[in-house]
Amino acid sequence: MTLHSKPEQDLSDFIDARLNGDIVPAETDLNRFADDLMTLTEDARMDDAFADDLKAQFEGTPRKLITFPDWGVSRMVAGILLALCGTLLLSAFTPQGRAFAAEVMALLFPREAEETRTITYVDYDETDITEYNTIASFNARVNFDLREPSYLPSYMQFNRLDYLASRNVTSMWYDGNGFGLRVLQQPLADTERGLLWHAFEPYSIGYETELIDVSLTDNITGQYVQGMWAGSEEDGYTWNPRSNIFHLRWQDDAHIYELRFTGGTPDADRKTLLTRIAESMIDSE
Amino acid sequence: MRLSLSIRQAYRDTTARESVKAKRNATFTVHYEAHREQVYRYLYGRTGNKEDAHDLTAQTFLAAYKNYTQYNADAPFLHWVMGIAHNKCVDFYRQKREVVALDTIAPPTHPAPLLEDAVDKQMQLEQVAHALQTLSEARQEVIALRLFAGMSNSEIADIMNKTPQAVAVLVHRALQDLKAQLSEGGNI
Repeated sequence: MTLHSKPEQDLSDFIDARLNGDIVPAETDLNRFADDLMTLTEDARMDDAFADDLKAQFEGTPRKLITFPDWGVSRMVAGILLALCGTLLLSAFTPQGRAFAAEVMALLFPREAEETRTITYVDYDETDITEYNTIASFNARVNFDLREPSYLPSYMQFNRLDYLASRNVTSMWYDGNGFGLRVLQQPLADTERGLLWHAFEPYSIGYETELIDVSLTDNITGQYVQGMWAGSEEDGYTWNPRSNIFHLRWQDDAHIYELRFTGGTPDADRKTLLTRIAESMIDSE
Repeated sequence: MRLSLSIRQAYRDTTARESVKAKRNATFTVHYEAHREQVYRYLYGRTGNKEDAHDLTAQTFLAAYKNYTQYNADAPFLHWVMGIAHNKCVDFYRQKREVVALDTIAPPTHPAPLLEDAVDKQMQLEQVAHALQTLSEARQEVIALRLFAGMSNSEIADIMNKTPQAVAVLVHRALQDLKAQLSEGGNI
């Protein structure tokens, strides 16, 4: 490119050379100023954990979840979970049973014993997933006691509902302003076929991760946790408690639910928001 | 028989849809890996703040992902995603102005150290971002794309619908304006 004006040509050539990594002296004030400005941002890089979290959202969201490394352990824990769910079903109709159910919730977000772990993916049959553009079309075709939130932030809109028939799980997707909300629901009796949408069971959280009990009603206590596993298969995965992925999980007499909010700054308070959404789902019952 | 055929068809449709979705996710991830740092640096330069830059980068790529079917693969992905980043940035400052008085984005009253003496790049960049806000939208944009995102005049010309020569002239004038603006604030 040739410009008639010498200073503009000089500046353009200087910036191009600088971008190419060439060492060129900045001979004019304006070139020096351009050099200073470029220096300010050239070393800037996205936070690795943040970039990985974001990437995870583009890699086929339902597939990317993580399981225990050992199938034997996974099956054993799943068996225990199943037994507990059965006990829950039997006992959930009494106040004592409900109190017990709240205690059992602690097992639904089990904690890893080590800071870092390896992972093994467990696939489910993705051809078994049906996508619905409206909740009405889902309700017309599937016999499922679906709970929708009656409260959502004004910027969030319904996007779609996915249904994983082999586990009898619904996943409602909402988004807006760069934020995403996923609402998972599954009858307790079907958790034996795989917990919620996770490609593992149960969903574990990291070593030393803060797990917060949230009182949703007199009888229902949910659990809130922030974070996700970040890393690689080679180096292992470490739980990032500052990831901008926020979970709230609870169960009632018949179903287990999970809200998963993504986006925003890692320090944002999402507990209040998710609690309000969860309460609106319980109220709608 | 008709029922089983329709089930088979539905199965094929679902399989095809999932396959398209998987392919789409894979190509989008490649684009994301290739361009995320450029988009981030552009937004970092525009906002002067790492937290805001991260937030807007996430918003940009999430919006791009959602609307990926609208992306015309004949054009470079970077041009398309930079357009989204630009819109996110405009929204960001519009929302900010709703709660922050305009005079707070004028150049800072306390003289900052010279760029050459920079101790804290973050603080300096915040001041540059403040000063950038006093320029016209086109001049802000051209500085962020050329110096922070590291794009060529030709690439910016495609995005801004101008000739490369016009972009070069615009960069020159924008830098003069910004330099003057920072000098008035006591920076240079």
